[in-house]
Amino acid sequence: MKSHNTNKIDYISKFKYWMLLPIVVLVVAIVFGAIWGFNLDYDFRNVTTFNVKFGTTVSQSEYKALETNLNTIMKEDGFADYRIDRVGEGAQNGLIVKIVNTDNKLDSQIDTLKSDIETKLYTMAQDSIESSVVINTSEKQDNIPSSIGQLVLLSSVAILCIIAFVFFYNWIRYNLVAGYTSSLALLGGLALHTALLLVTRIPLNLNFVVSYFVMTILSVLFATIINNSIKGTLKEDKFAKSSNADRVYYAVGKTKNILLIVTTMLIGLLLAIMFFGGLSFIYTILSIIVGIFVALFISTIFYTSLWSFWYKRAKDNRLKKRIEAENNKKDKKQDDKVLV
Amino acid sequence: MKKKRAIRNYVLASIFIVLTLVLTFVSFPVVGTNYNFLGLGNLQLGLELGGGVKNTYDLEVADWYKGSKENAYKTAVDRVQYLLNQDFADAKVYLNSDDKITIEVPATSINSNYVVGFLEMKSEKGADAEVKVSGQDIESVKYMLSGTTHGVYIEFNKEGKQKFADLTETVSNSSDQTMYIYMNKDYDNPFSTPKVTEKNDYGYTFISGAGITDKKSGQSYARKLESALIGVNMSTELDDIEVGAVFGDYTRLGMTIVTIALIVASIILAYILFKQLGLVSCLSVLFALMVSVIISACVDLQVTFAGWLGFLFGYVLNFALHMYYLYVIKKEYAMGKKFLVSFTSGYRGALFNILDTLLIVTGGMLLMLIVPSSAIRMFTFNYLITLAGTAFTSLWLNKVFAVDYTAFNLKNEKKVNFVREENVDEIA
Repeated sequence: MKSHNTNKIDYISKFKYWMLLPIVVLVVAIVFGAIWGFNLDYDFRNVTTFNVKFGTTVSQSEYKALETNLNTIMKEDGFADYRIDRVGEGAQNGLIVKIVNTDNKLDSQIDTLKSDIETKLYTMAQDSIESSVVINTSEKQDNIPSSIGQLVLLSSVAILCIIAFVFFYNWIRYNLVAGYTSSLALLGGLALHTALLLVTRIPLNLNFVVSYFVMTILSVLFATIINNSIKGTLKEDKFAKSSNADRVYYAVGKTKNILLIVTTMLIGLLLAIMFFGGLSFIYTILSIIVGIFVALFISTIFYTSLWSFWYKRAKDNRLKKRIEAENNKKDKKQDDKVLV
Repeated sequence: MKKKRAIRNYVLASIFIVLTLVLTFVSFPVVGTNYNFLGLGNLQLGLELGGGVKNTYDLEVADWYKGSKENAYKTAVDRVQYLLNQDFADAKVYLNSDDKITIEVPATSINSNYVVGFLEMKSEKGADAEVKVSGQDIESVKYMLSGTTHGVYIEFNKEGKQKFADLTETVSNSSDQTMYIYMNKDYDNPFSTPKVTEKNDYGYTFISGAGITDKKSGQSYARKLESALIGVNMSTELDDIEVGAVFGDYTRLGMTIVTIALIVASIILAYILFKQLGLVSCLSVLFALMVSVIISACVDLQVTFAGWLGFLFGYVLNFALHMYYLYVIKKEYAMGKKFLVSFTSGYRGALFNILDTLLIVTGGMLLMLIVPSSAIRMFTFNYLITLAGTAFTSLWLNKVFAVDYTAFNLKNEKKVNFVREENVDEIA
């Protein structure tokens, strides 16, 4: 039987090997999760914040000098889990200091730190500063950690609704197998994305749900593009004697450029913007990039393999056996010719 | 004739793009209306990009509140967030320790309408006067248009009905016939001082005047009064403090550079893939982008980082759909169709795929709105802004421009990067 895609990577027959990758990630994630749980960022922890104000506009190099010296003071005062972000414009230029302060145990230490900053920071950085900087610190503020429960609950409801929507849409537009396979693939994508977030230890802030939705929407988008291409093969005569796997290879081959364009452009723009913001910003972008890779893997490998296994299974198995037998016969004939 | 039409279409689209590009940088009042058109460059920035002000308030729970203090505080946070969401894309409210709540808004001051507080109706002026009706006595509050008068309809519960009847009786018999309504325990500035001339025992009342001039002010007034029903008061002695943008100039600059780079990269990519046909398709993509820019300006969009991501996601999706159509044409040509025929048969092949993609992505995006996250809301909202332009151009304009292109090139496959498959002859 002639294959319609000469450049195919035969991933469907090696499905079980491909699945080793997510299974290993899932196992490692379960271990990591049991030991350390999710790596929650400052949004979900008890954090004390205060501003260090400069009282004037400072240049980039002055900003850097003040940041470096503030870091030195923080370390000298014994702080390890903290974050410094730039904040403000013009005369409001300054730094925002966030310190993890579980059960407010560090309150007195933070008061000492504030007075150290006011007395030492300018002196330490003055060689690199030309602007008339006057260091002041604002009142400290304790932020109660945001509740992750409601966010996770409503996100789960939304994603389940999307899965149901995708199931019915694919069922009506394509076939029942496409419906439940795409829903199952989405569930697999959610599990894999969660596992990767656990394994990579990317800190999760309030925006982490965006990565789940980007993953979900892209998986749905990619699966739809592939589904349309597969649908074409179900009607065309030239595919009448093709196995499901061959149809899938043809469909993926036909659409791979579009999938790669979308993926490359999105990752490219995320990487380009990643270094223009603070740490929380970088963590959000990283989790979205992980989601994009998961979407690509799930929709091209996982979803299409499942579809090829389950769509008119009995008929496909018969066809595969016949193709195999014909191929064996052909091989045998070729061997005969060599012997003669 | 065909050539003339093609040139006309390209020129019209180009003029539209250039005009919209100009509108991106200018703002002006629309003649004959109160509406100010704000160009994209002058749109309001969200908190994380443009900064704003914040204030911290002390919380007090009413004696009549049934439930724990924690519950009351949580309800207050939810209510304030709801009030802020009416006007801002990414305003924040969060609880601090020691019974305090902080509000951050991308504005120059915090309007008192965003603050929940006790409602006190009194027959006499001042802090010491007895509270006759409070939030616990009210069943519901809503904006209402009575004839041509905008106002607020207040319905009392069973106990409230009697209390309000007694209050109106007392006030109507007093010398100045003025009822004093206080909010947030601000006894120096009454929230409202309606005149009462007779006893009201209907169990409801309608307040008009008091600065309620239109539907918007009426709704705002109603929301403020409705906030009193939760039984939590917020008050502060502090002035609003300016907060700088967390992302600031640096990130804004990055966003501008990345947006321009993405547009340039997509044009280069289209040219590499389909040469002249790719450039023609980019005209359609840019047309859609400019439609989105105009819509953004018309809805006075607030610029946030998540919103910007949603906008770019919409752009990338539209670009991919445009390229998809060209891929299908290329495939049709490779399989033996004539140059011109491949454009129309390719459209038939791509149409339902594009439609499916738009429907399923938009459906999924709308379902995402269930999540109470401003990032998700802005991401979705901005994507939806691009949807009109995407649908119009990917489903129709791209095809028109591509077919127009055949007026200039009917057979030169090298100019569009098409290749016929080996051993395939042209289908007659």
